[in-house]
Amino acid sequence: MKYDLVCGMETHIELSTLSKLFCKCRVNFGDSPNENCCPICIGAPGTLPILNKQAVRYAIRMGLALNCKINSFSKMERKCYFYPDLSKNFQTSQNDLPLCSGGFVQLESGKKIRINHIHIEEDAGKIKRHSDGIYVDYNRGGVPLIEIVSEPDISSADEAQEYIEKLQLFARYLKISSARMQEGSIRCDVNVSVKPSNSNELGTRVEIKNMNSISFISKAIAYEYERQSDALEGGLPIEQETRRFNEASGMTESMRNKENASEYCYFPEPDLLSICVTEKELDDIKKEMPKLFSERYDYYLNLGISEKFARLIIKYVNVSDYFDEVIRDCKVPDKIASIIVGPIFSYLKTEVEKEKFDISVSTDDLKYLGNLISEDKISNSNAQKVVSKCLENGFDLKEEVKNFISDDSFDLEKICKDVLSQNTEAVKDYKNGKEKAIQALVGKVMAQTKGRANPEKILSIMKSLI
Amino acid sequence: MSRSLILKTHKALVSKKVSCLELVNWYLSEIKKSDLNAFITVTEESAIESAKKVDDKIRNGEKIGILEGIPMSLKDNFSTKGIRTTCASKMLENYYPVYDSTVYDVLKKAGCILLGKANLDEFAMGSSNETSYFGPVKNPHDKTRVAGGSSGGACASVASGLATFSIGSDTGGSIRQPASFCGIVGFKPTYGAISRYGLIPLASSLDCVGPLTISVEDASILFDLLSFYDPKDERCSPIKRKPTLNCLENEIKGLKIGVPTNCFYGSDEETYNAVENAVKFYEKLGASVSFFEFPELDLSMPIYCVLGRAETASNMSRFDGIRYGYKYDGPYKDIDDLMTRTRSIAFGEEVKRRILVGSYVLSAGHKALYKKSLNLRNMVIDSFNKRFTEFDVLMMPASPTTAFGFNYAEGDPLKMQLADICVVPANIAGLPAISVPCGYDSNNLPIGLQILGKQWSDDLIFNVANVYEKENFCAKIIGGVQYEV
Amino acid sequence: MVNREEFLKLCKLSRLEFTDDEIPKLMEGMDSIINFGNKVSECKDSSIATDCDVSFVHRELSNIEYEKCIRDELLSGGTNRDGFFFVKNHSN
Repeated sequence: MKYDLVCGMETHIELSTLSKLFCKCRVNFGDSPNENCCPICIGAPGTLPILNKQAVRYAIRMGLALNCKINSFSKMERKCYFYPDLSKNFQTSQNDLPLCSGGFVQLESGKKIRINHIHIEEDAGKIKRHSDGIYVDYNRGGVPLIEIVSEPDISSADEAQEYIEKLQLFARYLKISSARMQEGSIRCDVNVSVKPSNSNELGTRVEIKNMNSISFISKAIAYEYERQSDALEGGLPIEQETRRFNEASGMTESMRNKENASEYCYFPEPDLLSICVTEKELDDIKKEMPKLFSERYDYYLNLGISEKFARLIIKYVNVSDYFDEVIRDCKVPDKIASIIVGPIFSYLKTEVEKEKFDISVSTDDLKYLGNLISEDKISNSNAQKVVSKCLENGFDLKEEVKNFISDDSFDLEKICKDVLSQNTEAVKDYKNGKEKAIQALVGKVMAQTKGRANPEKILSIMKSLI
Repeated sequence: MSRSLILKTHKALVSKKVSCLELVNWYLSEIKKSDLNAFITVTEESAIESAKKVDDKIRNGEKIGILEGIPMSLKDNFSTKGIRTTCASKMLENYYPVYDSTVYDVLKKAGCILLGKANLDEFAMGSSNETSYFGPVKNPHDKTRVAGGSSGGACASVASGLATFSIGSDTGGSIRQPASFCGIVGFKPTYGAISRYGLIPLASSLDCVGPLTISVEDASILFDLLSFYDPKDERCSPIKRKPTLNCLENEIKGLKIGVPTNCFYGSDEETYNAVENAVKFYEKLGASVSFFEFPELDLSMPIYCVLGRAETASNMSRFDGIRYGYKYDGPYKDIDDLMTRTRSIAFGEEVKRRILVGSYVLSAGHKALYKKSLNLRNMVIDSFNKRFTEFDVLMMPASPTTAFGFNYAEGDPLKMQLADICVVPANIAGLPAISVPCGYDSNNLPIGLQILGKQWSDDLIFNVANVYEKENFCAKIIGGVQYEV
Repeated sequence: MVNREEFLKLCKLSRLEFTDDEIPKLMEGMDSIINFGNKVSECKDSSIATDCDVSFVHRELSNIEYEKCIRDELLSGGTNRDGFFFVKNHSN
């Protein structure tokens, strides 16, 4: 019996606003425990929340990018449960009327993963277990989150991976979050069920939580698919539960059975006004949206950049931003692309480094280099060498490039004539059809100019002389 | 003669009839002597220090503000930085806030001197000030009777000359009912007029801050001081406030008064008579009075029971011993056990009861009840709005009875809750309402006349109440600090 | 109305515990309030939108200019008035 995977995701993304969702405390990772706290986010009695409008704007950006309907009227609600990382023992979130409804994420295959809704909520603090007890750090408490809830449209681990990566790209391009799994600024919980391929009835859902890398999520889904298919094949029921992924064993396992904690007692937050988004505000947000990767991809292709290179560049928003800056008024965008994908990417070995894209070669430097290329003053290969050298040694590019520039002070034509006259045998060979012969002649000219001359230029001069 | 105690006191200070230090010391000694149990914390040192500063100013010939050097009490559910704030609960018995409520901050800026934090029903839950962890408050008019609640201590302190004025909170009548029991003026503004930031909440969509005073003029001064837009409270309205002090003496000829007949259900005869007489007084001045049936009024209390307790249960959830407040110090199994023991030990019975009812109403199977109450609340608001196209103000008793004895409800929470039957409607509809003394019963217990208006008619309420008080002033200060200027 | 099982569930939900002795009286007290609150169920739904915020009523910003409020005076730590005369036509 063949089984289909039915998978939905709940993705939390931490917004990179300056302040928390309901108070003016800084949002900053890595500060000492409870440093970024105030009476409001600690839940001191009598304090009141004030909604951070920038967080709402960021959330709307995501909603617009994912083709959602932005609700002009939405409510904050209290989600009530007791846990030490919640300073008020309720989380102020949304339920009945979220900020964004509907929408979709389109995969490369053209398949659309539908979005049920996006809502904003506050994050909880962090619980740390030490040998002498349990400690709580409320720095993270109150940080704004968006939760993106998908419909169960995902049907393979690969699709799941692509979906998350797309969400990451969106978040980064919209400049609303760093969306890094290792940092916890993007987290995914997965709901997995299987059903027989010839049936329309959905199976029992199992929730898998606490996976902190995309590859683990992928593995967990794959394992869970096997586990559930095997169970159904063997006539065993699937228990509705929450499981975690064991990285060492590569299997999912049942989490300690909490009592049916899903009694959240949602009710409207009485301390906050409803969120109203006017047409004008929506227009303003649309105007300030950064260009998304799909737009940039099309633009790059129009400039003559190969699909492969374009895909590589848009994969990292910092790279794309950098690239966009360099190629403004640039005549050789394809050459710049090669430089980035070539020496620069070779130098930045890890994904994290590529994401950060913190290099000593500035956009001005590369613009300058681009101009030299377009004026034929430096060859492509030399340009790439220059960049490599600067990255490895921290040289100043404008200085370093002087070592490679074609010196037009020498008369290339004359040198070519000289070489031709000194190598009549080679010339005869070339005339008789030996292509390689001319390469040797070019080489001789290069030797004479100490490698500075542009080999393509030499070749064309020679051909015209011959 | 001005009936404003604030002005009398200010004049006494400015004319140097009494120094601020003498005044404050007088209040402090009366507080020590009093057995009403109106105060939980007395801030003796800081009061004396502040008094000295005021005296310095006066000595130097500097002009002082009308509220400068005026001694006040503050209901102990207002956050005061560095000054113990208990909410009359074991849970916060040793809680010292790290920030000031907006209201206290402004009162300080105006120069008021805090004598102490006034007793209340625990976490403002109650109508008699009997649920306080620190013991009940006695009524100054008859110590065998309650002061009312939940602002019992605040009202008793003003009525017994232990403070010039007080500031309380009103969620289901907690300013107006005890004010009527103690024979003073209690004002609940339009919801959203005064900032709630720093008021430890009972039911967030119902809580209001308001003054407790000897005269309407004093309440008006305090309202004008405290009513402004505070961005720290999203529910505080940015609407432009109309000053009330300038309207006190306006003519009320042609005023249309409505009296809902069903509000007298369960009333004492003497209460009924006093209110009827008060209404007749207005008629003599040229107002028109109509008695009418107001059935939607009766829905207010059931709605309050549902909505109020739902919000309360959630507001109480942050008290778990982990960040502040009482923490169980014995052995426990796990975090849930720690929280459960802490809350079960440190919360009083009425608090726990309300949390349970609130949780019931919010839980999955009973959501319909909560949603229905929200829905009907809008209907009550709408029906009031319709009435206020016919009438300018409504009048009724502040309480069906005068102050009852201790243990009147005999442990029946509904019986106690129904003591607020006349005052809860104004909370449900967010309306401004005042209780002003209108007589005494045969036991010399005060009776309060309640006047309600539509939202943002606070100035009219003060006007109408002042006009009555001018010819019928009957508030008394029983013992404590008294002087004539 | 509330049976013991549900009562205990609510206790767990609110992190409260009681002795067996305390429970009957508490349940009775809860019942009386809940029964009373249930009166709302006897009414028809109102047609006024459930999502109408009480605060919406307060949202209109009035453009009327009012006379100056006493607050500035009260906060300024000094007064130019002689103390008595707050109210129009007020006599000694």
